[in-house]
Amino acid sequence: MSEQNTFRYKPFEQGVWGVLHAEWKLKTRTPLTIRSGAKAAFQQDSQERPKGRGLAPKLVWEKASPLLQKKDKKYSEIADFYYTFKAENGVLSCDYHIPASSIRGALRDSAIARKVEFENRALFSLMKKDKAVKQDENDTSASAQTLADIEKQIETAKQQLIEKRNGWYAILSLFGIAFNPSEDPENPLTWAGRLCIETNINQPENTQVTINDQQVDVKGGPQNIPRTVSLRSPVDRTTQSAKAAGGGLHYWLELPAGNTFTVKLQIANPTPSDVDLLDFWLREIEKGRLSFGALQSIGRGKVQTAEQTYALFVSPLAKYAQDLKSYPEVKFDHNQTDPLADFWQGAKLRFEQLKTIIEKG
Amino acid sequence: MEKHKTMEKHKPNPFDFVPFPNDSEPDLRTISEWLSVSYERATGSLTVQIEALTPVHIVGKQDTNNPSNDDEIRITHSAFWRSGGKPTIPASSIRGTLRSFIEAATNGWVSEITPYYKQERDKRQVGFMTIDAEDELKEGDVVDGDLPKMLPKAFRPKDRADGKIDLGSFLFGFVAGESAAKGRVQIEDAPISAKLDDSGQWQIPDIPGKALMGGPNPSAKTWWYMVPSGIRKRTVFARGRNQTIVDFLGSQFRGRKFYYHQAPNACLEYYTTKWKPPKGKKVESFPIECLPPKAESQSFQISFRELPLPILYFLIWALQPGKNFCHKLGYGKPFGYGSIRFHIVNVDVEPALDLPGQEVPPLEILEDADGYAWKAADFAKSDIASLLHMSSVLALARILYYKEPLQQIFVWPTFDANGFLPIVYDSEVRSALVAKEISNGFPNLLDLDEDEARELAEEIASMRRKGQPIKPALHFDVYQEAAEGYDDIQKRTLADALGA
Repeated sequence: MSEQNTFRYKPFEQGVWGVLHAEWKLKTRTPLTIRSGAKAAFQQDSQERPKGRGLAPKLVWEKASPLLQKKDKKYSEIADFYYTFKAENGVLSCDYHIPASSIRGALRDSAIARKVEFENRALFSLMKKDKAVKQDENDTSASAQTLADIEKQIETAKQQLIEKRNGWYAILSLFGIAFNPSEDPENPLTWAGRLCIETNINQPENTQVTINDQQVDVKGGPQNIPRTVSLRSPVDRTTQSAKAAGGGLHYWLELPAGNTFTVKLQIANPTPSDVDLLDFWLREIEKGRLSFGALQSIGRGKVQTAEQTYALFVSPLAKYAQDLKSYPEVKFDHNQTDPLADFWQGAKLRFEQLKTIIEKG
Repeated sequence: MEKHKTMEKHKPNPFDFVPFPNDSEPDLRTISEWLSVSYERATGSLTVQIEALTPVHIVGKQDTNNPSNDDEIRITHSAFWRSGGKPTIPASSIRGTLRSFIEAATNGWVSEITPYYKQERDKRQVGFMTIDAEDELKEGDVVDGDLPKMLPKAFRPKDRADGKIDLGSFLFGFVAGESAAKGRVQIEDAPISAKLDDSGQWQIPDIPGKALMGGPNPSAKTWWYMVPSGIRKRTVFARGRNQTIVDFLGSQFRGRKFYYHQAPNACLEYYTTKWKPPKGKKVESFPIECLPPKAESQSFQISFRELPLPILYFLIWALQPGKNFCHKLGYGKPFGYGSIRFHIVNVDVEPALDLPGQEVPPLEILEDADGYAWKAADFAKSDIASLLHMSSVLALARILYYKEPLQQIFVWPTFDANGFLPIVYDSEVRSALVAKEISNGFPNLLDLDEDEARELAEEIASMRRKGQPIKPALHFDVYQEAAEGYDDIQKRTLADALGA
């Protein structure tokens, strides 16, 4: 391997000298749907009649399964919003939640879609070498070619990272990668990411669900967000009727437009390309090009930034330390008993100020 | 084609088909090949509004008279769908309208189809499959295994080893087997702040009990939804004895169904004064809450990602196909409701890649995005022409032709001997076959070509049983071609629809 093709990146080789805390309060501009596979039970009307719709809607969360398994089919499945369980003080509870992985995935995918040419997007998706060989077990020439293709792909990938002609370097240096763990440990295409994401969606308790224009009480289950019922009825192209079988009318719960949730992004050792990515994502969010959750094809998941806060914490020896002194000081807020709480030097910044500081460095 | 002289004039049926062509298959390409239509690719959004040409209704809550007997149930009011308390045209309705149109115009895959129709007492005597979906059959559901799958194989979305998909799938996404491709077009809900009309002036015809037409009910034993392929005898017990009747078998669905435009009030008047409902029923009507004619939705976004410019132009054309070429959306399409125009009020375009050196592509066509700039000759030479299946576009243009005043009325065939009823007996079919010199009879099954099927249907329609016609609505084309005004419909051209 020539020196030109040697790519070496170790994000924490110099240790951790700084952390950027970004907090975005995002307001849903269109409904937000985050799924988990969980279902509740829903009915439009208390009795099945040839006509009439939505006359007595009902949603059942507790003990929904028995209702859904009944042969009379009075209740239909409704896809619930994502929720998690927690045990606190001996009590089990559940809350609706936006998994951080959902946000992370949307951010990563949007960056790849807009900063990497189509022809290079699969570059860092690699078939395992042992699987490649097994697939061509009966054809040794094909397996040899497959291995050669993989080696060539790895070299091309490294070259793109070295040349930084597209967004791969910026994206992978922030998100991390586990491309080829079995190769040379001195020059692996594997490193940890520097981005950590948290979300918070808690809102005042809401025991009701909106169905069309009606409010319906729901007993039990998570109640920490407002919810609406939405539905979709695929139409058969040859008859222009609702599909009678094979995946027809279906319902789901979503967070309506006009509600807020918080995304916290923590970036270790922030670089100018990280700040460029933040800038890019903020622009994409405002233009409606970056959406979150499911059903983006029907416009779900568009948000706008209601509030942004940034706090940069650096070691006193870091290159930005001096610059930060001219900005409002902020203490590291992890918790009040943290012995390292005062170790970092921190400043509260607006985004433009953050850009200036980081790009200057 | 000579119309059968003895058939009485009736109004044409409210829908027609864009046929599945015999001589061409969907244009399938890999995602890379679709992207390679042009190296100038754009990401951006269209700001769109929907204008109602005839009243638009999306069903929300429907109240009834709540009788104890289902045979007496009536809808008393149909409210507009609301999202978050606000009247809204759902994105899924808009997307469905657009994708159906695009699939037809490009001769693409049929992305949504009911996989089978089971045999059901009093509803469907012969069950059939539309696609290979044996694993979806539920226990107890019966279909006739001798019948072909009614959707032509070429039009079934498939998880292909070469990864090729149609243009509709490239734009809107695709899931089949283990393959999936994310769509490149996102459509938002269209909220409405205009005042809806709930005065009661807009009504849908209906009968007590079941719906007026019971909903679309494709049958494998008539040539209404199906292309004729032959006839088959079947024994049924009717009027106290075994009788041999004839099923009119099809080889495949005729095509993709679309509804004609018409004036709702004229249509309603015809149903309530002249149309014959099922025996013992009277046509009534119920009011619907509508977005009235000339009213518009609020603007909403149609976003697109990394589209080659010709495909972006194609998307814009699909939204605004022509001055006299308009879409239908929502409830009540058979009765003239839901005729709309999309208006593109703003276009925001940037290079598909957010990388240094990328430029905004030339916006020549987009300067007049809300105009109807297509002349027929230019259209045929434009960048988008290569994406279109022109005979399908012509069929669409004839059906979706909209020009005021809307004078042609379209109604369902009646529920008596002048329409879908009755069954046809073996002896009657034998007489018709002999009269048309097609055959002297048949043991059980007889294959027929297109011309033979047409002649047989025309002969049956001209026959009388106790003075009444026998099933004039057996063969869709025969029925339509004998309808009042259908000649004028067939004379519509693409240039008429483009209107430039």
